[in-house]
Amino acid sequence: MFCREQVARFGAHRDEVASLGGSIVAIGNGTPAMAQGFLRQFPLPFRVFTDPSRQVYALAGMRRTFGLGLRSLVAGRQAMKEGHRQGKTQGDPWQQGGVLIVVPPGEVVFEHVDQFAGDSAAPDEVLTALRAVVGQAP
Amino acid sequence: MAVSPELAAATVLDPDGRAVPLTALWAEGPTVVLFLRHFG
Repeated sequence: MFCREQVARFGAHRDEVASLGGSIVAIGNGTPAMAQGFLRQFPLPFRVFTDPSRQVYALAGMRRTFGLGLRSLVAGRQAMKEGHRQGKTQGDPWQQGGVLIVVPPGEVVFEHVDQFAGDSAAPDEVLTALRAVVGQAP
Repeated sequence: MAVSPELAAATVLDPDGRAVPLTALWAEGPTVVLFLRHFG
């Protein structure tokens, strides 16, 4: 559910990201077949990749946490209000997500590591960081 | 902050199972990289 919410929220800003000379990519952690199934269900306006070993997640500093705390339940309630529903988990159920902005050749200029399920970065926060990178005032 | 050499050397798979160097994801310009919790 939270990953659906995350891709929907960022997908809505794809054109704005493109207007800033940027792009969006998503990395999941199931098998390629799971990625294909997800894309059939939710055609996304950006490229999708997967990291079945979760090596990239670990190297990028993403967290794994066990269980769902109160904050995740509150965030889940909000996501459901926005129309997102929990599907079958395909990948590591305890892996947490996050967002990076990387500029060539490999400089991380923004980092948000989710601390719990539903702790996604707000697209506005990411767009503000992206505008700063390209030297455009909000 | 530069990505670590280990991260720069890592690969991900596209939905067809082809390995893609991670650096290729951001080669063209500033890139918002979303790490999903999982597919579901």
